[in-house]
Amino acid sequence: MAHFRMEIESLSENEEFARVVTAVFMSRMNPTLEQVEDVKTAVSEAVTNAVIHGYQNGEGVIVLEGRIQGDWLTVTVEDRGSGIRDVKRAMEPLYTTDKTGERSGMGFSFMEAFMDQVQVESEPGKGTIVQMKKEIRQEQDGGIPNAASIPKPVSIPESVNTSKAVSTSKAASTSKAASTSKAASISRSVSILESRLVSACGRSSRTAGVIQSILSIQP
Amino acid sequence: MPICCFRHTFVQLLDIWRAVNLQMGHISQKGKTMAQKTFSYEACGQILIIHLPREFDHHNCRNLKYETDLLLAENYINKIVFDFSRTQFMDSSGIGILLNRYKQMKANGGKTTLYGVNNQVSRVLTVGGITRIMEHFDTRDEAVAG
Repeated sequence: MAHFRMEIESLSENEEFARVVTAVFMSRMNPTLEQVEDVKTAVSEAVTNAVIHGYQNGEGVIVLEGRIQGDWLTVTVEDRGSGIRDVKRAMEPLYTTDKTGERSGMGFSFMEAFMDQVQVESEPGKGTIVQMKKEIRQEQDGGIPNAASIPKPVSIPESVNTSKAVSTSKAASTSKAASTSKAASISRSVSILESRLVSACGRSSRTAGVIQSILSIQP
Repeated sequence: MPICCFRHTFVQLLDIWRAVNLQMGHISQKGKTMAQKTFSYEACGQILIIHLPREFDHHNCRNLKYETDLLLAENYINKIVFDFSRTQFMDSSGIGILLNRYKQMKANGGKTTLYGVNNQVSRVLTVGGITRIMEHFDTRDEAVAG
């Protein structure tokens, strides 16, 4: 079992930092590039929620925690911000409290689409804990994902969607891009992650010390 | 391809906007490096091409609404082309941006297209429902013509 826990300031530049750290942490599970991308997207959504909604772009601390138990990766994002009054409603697709119209309201839908389990605990005035789990199976073959692994699209309301005739079958076209061999994709992803981590460190120097401790954790 | 005649005006406007923000302290002293990290604009006739950043997330998109609103108000634009060729990562913040520009263009009878998406971006676009409302192309020329 491997575990890490870190505290980061509620700043929008830490969104990238958080997802890169999580990606590096999970690389020891020998995931496919696609699995790494899925987890990164989900972590980005959760941390963005904490920055924008939890702390309303103000000051605060976000706790990011990762845990590996067997084939399961658990990522927890915790804030002590404003909390959510109605969690069920907040998790509805396209629900947003944003007034500028720039937020899509798809944050929780994305977490659910890209992870296997999402649990949200929240109390108004106290904060929110988002716990996400994903199974990273150790496959012996090439690790080519089947069509079922492609997340289902969020449904867009009538007012936005004009081309009703086009079905969701386009999703199938994305699977062919993943046919590169697992070994090649892993070495590529690790090198990308390393360079990303270095650049992320440079930017948020206050959290840079965390990297040392993460990289020294033994699997 | 149409001649790039509006480009000069665009870039000038954007420089003024960024200078104003710099004075107001919205952009830190790192303004120069930040400008490289975020999006840039290019105009070809009545087409506005938006080159998206490497990380197309909430952090990098904070100013996009104001900048594009300014550009759309000052110039006649009937098509927006999103360039994803540099983009390695995108989340639902990007979906919000794309949807809003799509609605804006549709209200005036305009079009929105995109090109150069990688595998991660393609999955996010599919889940976000963007592939059903916007045409996507492999190359810039196709996206501009399509």
